Amino acid sequence: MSFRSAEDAGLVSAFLDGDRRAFEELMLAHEDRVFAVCLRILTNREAALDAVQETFITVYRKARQFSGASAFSTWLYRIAVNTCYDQLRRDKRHQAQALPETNDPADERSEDLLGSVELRPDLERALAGLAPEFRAAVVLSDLEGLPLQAIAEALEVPIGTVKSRVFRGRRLLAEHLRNLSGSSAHQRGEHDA
Amino acid sequence: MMHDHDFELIAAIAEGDLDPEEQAAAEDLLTSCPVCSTDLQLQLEALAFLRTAPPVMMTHLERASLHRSVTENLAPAARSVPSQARVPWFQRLLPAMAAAAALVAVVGVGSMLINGSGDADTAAGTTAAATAGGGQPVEEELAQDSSAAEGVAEPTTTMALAAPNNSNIREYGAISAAELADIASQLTTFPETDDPGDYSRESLQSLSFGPALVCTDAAFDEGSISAIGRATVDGDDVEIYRIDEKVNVYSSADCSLLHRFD
Repeated sequence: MSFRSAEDAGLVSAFLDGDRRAFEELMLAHEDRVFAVCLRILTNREAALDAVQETFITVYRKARQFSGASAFSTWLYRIAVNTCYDQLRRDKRHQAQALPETNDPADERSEDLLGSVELRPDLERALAGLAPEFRAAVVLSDLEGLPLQAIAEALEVPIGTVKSRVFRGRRLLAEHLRNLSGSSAHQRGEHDA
Repeated sequence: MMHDHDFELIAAIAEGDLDPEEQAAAEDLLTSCPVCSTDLQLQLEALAFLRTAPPVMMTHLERASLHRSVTENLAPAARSVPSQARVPWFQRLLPAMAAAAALVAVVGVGSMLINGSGDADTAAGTTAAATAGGGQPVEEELAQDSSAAEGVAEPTTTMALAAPNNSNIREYGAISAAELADIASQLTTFPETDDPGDYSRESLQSLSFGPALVCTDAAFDEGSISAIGRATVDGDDVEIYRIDEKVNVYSSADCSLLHRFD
């Protein structure tokens, strides 16, 4: 068990014993990575923050269901990913916006108001072009660096399925990037002409 | 193109998980399989692209709003009141944005008055409109935060309510030095802590959520603290304390006193 996992287990135990600060420490320790996962799956800043909020509320309310069989972070990612899936299902508009025709910045309003760090626009568009199950696998594997076993537990699928999703997700992403690149070159050519 | 039969091998090559001998053998094999070779190229392109992805992070404002929203949404459950609708984070942001808009209006109108254009009625109207447009005043919201935190008692609570959390440290974000005086004049006593004695050294040192305050000792040496803010002034992080009747601004780097507003 890693130091982080051991510390998380201790904090969960303390929280269940009534120490609310332990929950706050857990949240502080993990909120950035949960936000990163949610933003990359949802490719929308507002939606990601809502998902992070809902994830930690779920953790607070269901902490007793954490068995300790896997790392707390794995359990947390499972909740976060499921929350994101739920949000994608609820928000059909997101799918309609998944592949914008133009190269407009992702969310100028957020950027202006908050001075925030956005996903790179090409990454956002490329991720948005993947089906959610491939997107989640690629995000957890290649952007968050989780081991396959942890991803399998977080996504509640066999390791073989994770490998397949990561592989196919990368392939689709690369093909999509090639298309985007070709499209941009075509647009530049039209513009120059 | 759904040629997946060697995908584990191709992925392992792309990730560099094979030792040199295995890698060489695998690459020889790939030369006899054009589809596999194309797949490897796509894997490499995707990985190269993903590995250059910049980290993403929340802004201070987003983080503070998230903490406040989580606290507020948990309070009803802890009181065993039927759950209320979740408050989207951006709605939680509106009062802060309104306060920022009001500040801009005040500063803008103030400079208009200094320059001899505009009038007081316009200033009052603009400020009122900005505040009304964003909903409740920040003080009122923070008072609600405190009362909400009071009810958080699940599984069993020992949370010290007198201890301020970052919900009642005002986060001003990036501001200019010129705005600092206005910020200081607005940094008034929080409703829940109008007894200055509520802010004890212990409570401030045990803050949860967000970076810890570092200049509380310097501030306490000056008197009783009744309100706290944090900002980045022209790129430098500062802590702002209302201490008795004055407001001190300390550098977060070394707690040197940068400004005093009486």
